[in-house]
Amino acid sequence: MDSTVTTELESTNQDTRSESLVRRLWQIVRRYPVFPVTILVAVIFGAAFAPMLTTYDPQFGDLSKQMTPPFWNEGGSTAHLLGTDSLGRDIVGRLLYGARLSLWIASVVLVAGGVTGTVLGMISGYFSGWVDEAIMRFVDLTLGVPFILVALVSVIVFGPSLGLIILLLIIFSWSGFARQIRAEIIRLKQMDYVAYSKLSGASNVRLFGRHLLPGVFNTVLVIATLQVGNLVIAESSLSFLGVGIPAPKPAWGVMVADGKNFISFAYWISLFPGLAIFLLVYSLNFIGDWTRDRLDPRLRQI
Amino acid sequence: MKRFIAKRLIASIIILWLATVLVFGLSRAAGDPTFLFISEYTTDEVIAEWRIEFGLDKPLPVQYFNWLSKAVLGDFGASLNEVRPAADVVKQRLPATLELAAVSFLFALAIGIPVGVLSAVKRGTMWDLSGRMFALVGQATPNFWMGIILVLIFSVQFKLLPTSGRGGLDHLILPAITLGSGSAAGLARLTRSAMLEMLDSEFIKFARAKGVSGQSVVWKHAFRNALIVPITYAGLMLAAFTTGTVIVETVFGWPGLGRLAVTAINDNDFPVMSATVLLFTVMYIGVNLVVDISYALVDPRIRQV
Repeated sequence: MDSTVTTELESTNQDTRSESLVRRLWQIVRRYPVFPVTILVAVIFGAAFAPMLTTYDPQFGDLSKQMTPPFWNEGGSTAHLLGTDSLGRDIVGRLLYGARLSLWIASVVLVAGGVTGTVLGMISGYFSGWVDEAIMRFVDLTLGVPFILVALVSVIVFGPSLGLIILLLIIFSWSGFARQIRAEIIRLKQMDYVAYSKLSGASNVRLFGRHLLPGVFNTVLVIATLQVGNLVIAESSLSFLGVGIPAPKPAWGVMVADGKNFISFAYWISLFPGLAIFLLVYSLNFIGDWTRDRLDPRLRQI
Repeated sequence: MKRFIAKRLIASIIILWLATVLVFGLSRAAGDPTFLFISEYTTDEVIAEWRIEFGLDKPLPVQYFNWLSKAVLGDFGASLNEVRPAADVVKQRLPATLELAAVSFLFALAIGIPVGVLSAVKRGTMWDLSGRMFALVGQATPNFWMGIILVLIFSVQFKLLPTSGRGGLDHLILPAITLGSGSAAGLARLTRSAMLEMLDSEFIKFARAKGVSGQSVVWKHAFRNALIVPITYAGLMLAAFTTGTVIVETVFGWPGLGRLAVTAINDNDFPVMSATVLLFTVMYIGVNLVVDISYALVDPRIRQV
């Protein structure tokens, strides 16, 4: 009898142990953005090692293999895991090189827009008066005019190019930084420590670099993580309309547009690149929310 | 309050004016409009005559002023593609876009607000989890792709709804869902956080302590106060709609302003292009102004800013 009791006890012990392991895993998943980070790491990995992960050229296809379905569909083969498009280009290959474009553009725009917006926002908030007025009216203009139309017109006028699309996205992104940072600086500049540092003869450069910038750094980081998803969507939307990244380049938005007319019989051409955009933006937004809750819950309204 | 309205009004007019400069500047940056009419038989004298006829021989500021003074009265010149005034072309396309935008707006409200409230009231439950999931998924889905996938499912696979064009109610369903879903997601998310903040506040605790029923606390006390946040979001929603109509109308072949803008720009039809872009800008600025003012009416703290 004794022995049965102990075995029962042991088994319940084991149950609770395995249950607590599941629970702990669940807690980790709930507390940290595990899945989004995994997806993001996978996209970055794919982008970084694209030439090693695929042997197919992203821009030139094999015309004899047009519209091969994915391997699980009838007529598909494992040579083209996710099939090929109307020009016989491998979808996986284009997705990998497309990740490069998306991430590269998003980072360039984010850094340039973030720096411009932060600097102008700090200047605007610190020196009130006509400088502030001018910068804020410019912010109003960029936020007050429909971005997509400006983008469409500029692309037609200047011709589609990578440089132009990056410039347009920078103009689109910096104003969000400028507005928030300005509000933040207006709050910070009334603090005692700013007055003390001025009293002790700190130059404006020192005041900005040593005392104000660290104060807004978290905000900059939070806005950046919240904005990056929107940037990816904006870039792919423009590419989809044919005014973003010029056509033969494997931008995900261009790929969705490529398959639009074949959707009734070759769903895979549009489906997978769109799914890639969705997964990337989903993880970026999720990580953005998480960062904001960690660093600066006051920004929850954004 | 009057001061606030006056200030916002002046700011809006300045933006509008800057927008006209931008449109005019971009249309002139594309080059001399006469090149559109030139054939190989056109002589230099004829071109010179045209330049005088169109006023292109005058300095740019004068040209801008002439263009603006007509544009204010709705005269953008004749469309280069169709032989009629650009304003007529735009006027004909406007109802389709307004119809689509209105239905999408209602759709976004009807989905976004209840999901947000439910999510907040049943915080931490499966309802909340799915509500938040809906918000994240909705905001991460590019609408051009969503439109195509909806067509794949409902038009190609099940043959339930038409793929494109404008007609009865069945033509509206897919475009409206595509256009409204992003805003519905954003709305759900903001309503949820606003409701949570309200439900945590002292006056709600007091109301509960006083013995007000659960339903009444949620709808009469918390919801009414939380509603301010979604109202401000309406402005952002409209911003999303201008971008959205261009994309959704392209995907679904919807004969509205968005598609007109794209075709006019591609065909170098500058009169139609400038009319469309300025009309979009006026609507955009107008809605933002109304939102700002109504926000200040509801919440007096805003007037200080």
